[in-house]
Amino acid sequence: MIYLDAAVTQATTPDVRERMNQILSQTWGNVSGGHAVSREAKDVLEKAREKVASICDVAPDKVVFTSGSTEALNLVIQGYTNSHRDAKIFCSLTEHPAVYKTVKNLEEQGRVVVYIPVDNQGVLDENFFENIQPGDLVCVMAVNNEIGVINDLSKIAEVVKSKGAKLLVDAVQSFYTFLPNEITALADYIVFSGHKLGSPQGVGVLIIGDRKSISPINFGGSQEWELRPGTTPAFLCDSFAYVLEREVNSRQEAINNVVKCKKEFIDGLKELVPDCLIHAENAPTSPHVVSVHFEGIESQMMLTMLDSRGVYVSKGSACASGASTASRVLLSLGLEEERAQSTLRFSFSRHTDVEEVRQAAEIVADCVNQLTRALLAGTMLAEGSPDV
Amino acid sequence: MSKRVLIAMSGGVDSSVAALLLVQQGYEVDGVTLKLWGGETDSGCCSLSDVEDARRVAGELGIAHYVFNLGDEFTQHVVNPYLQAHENLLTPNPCIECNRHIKFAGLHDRAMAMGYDYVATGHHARVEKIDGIYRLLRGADPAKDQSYVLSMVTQEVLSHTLLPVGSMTKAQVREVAAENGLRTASKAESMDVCFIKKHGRQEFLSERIDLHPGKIIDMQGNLVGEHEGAELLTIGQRRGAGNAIGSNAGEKQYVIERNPDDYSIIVGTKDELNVSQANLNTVSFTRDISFPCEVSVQPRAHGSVFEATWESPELITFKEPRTRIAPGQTAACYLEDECIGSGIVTS
Repeated sequence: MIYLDAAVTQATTPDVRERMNQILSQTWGNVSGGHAVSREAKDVLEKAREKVASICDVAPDKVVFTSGSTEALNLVIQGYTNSHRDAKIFCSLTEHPAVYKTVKNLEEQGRVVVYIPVDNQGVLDENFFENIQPGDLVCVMAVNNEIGVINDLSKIAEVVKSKGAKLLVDAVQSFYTFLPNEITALADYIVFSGHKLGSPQGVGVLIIGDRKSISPINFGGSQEWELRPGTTPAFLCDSFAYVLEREVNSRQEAINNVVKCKKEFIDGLKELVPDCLIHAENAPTSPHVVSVHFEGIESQMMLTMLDSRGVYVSKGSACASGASTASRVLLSLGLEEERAQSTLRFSFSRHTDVEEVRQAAEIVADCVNQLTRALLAGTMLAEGSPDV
Repeated sequence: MSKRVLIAMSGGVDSSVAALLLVQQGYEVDGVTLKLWGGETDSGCCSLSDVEDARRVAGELGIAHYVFNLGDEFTQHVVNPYLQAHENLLTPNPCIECNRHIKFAGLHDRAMAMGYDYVATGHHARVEKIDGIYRLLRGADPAKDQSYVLSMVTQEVLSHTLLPVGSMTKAQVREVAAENGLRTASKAESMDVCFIKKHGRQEFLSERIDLHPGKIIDMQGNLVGEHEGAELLTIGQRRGAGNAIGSNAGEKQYVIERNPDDYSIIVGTKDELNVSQANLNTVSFTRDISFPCEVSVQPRAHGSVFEATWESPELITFKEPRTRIAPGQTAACYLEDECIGSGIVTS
């Protein structure tokens, strides 16, 4: 198996599993209880919080654990607009659905939303920042999950700050581009996901400058400073802190590997499928993501063939029904629907083997050639096929 | 090396059992659910729960499962022509067009391009190779036989088609599903046009095309009433409720013709509805045949057949005068149990 879908999730390593196992068997208490069993669990949780805070260069009381980045992003966007009724929401057109759909929903409820367009390389149109007013909320991702484009956070943060507005950064795919504390220094709300770094799924972190600036969107217990009710799972929070520290400490090694993998993969593909096109090739992109267009080749067919040959990739962001329509992110670059429908995303991590990446490029090329031959033979009647 | 099969899994019991049987027969099987329709007018078909049912069954069987979004092709080749046919006062069969353009073209072609040997579906019909020719045969369960909606497949397509439940009755299919604990064992089946809500045809059409009211005229030229929309009526229809269609002779009246010029309809008695031939277009054959050919004709998805001569690809003459077939409907021709082809009735 060749796993080139690291931007979706990553495997946990044995050390992560061993650590969780230990906590689950020894300090399994409810962190909110009033006795020794709970105190032990609470201790695990707070140490995790302190570790995350230290890495992010913030005080521990700025760290809110959530069930994942989607919950954290919802908490900020809904929680902020609940307590700032007149605030406009600025949201780039290439945001992850966790942001985009949340904002859309608020727009349907009558909130004013400004969608920031991007150019054909996925770079934000900064003219739209002119209209930001004090108290508005600006939602921007650090690194795009589908095409890897890096946003100029320093510049954006400067503008947002000068306008007296608040900045939310979705930092889920940011690790190979920004250190966590580089982002926390710039924004008011920063969201990280654990499993993209190697913790299990089910834990995320919100770093929040001013906790009073948002109101809770769920109600119940007073966990996480009354911002996120529900029993906080100490073992997952510990796991988050552990992988974050581990990844930061060996970050250069990881970056070196993904840089090598991406180069190897693109070189291989360009040699074997000369007319493939890399999206956002002229924009600054993260070394762990590459989005490739294969002309006239439906991405679902490629995905199916690659799956049967043990190469695991993605069409874009995963969709609940699995029936993706053309990617909104790709369409926002001004691409035609056909091109958006014939795009695959490949993503790498520290665990990706560069040898396997070479092999994967060959298998991808093989599948492209097989489908191209079928097109040429006229056996395909698919819509959007090139004129052959 | 075992043959590779791509099976279309709707999330219903027939395709679930079909997938199970193929796995048991030793094929290398992948499942695919076609996302054809949904969104604002979601009739419930192609819904997330259907996709989840199909995915779960695939999981139970240990096979891969994919979702192919052929929504644009479905709209282009099935839904839009369905609307256009109504505008042209025809009576279309969208299931046939779906099989023609989507399941046995769009999916078949994709499967072949991806290197599969066969496409399988859960249709109740059989494919058997007899004397070197692939024959499309009626399903073993007369009440469920679906050979009619497959009547437009070609020999080439048949040679790559597997219909694993065609030799079983529906009761047997459910039994096998239950024995194997498949999630879809007792799922209700859909019988209507998949993209239209039950009893929602009028609403579906009226939201998308203009409906033209007009006069109801009998064979003698007498005005006997008015109707709400010629597009909603079909040849041979006898409307019991609502605006009764002419009863001047005290006999039951049937729609005999729809006039596209002024959207009037002509009604008449059962005898006046009878004709002795049907003209066809969009004719296709499941195998080579020679004309003229004595056949049994099936004018709708289910129901009785009548004897006729397929004189030439575009003409069928009936042995006895009989109720005319509504233009737009498909006439499928059979030699005993074998469906040899079909065409769309023009007049």
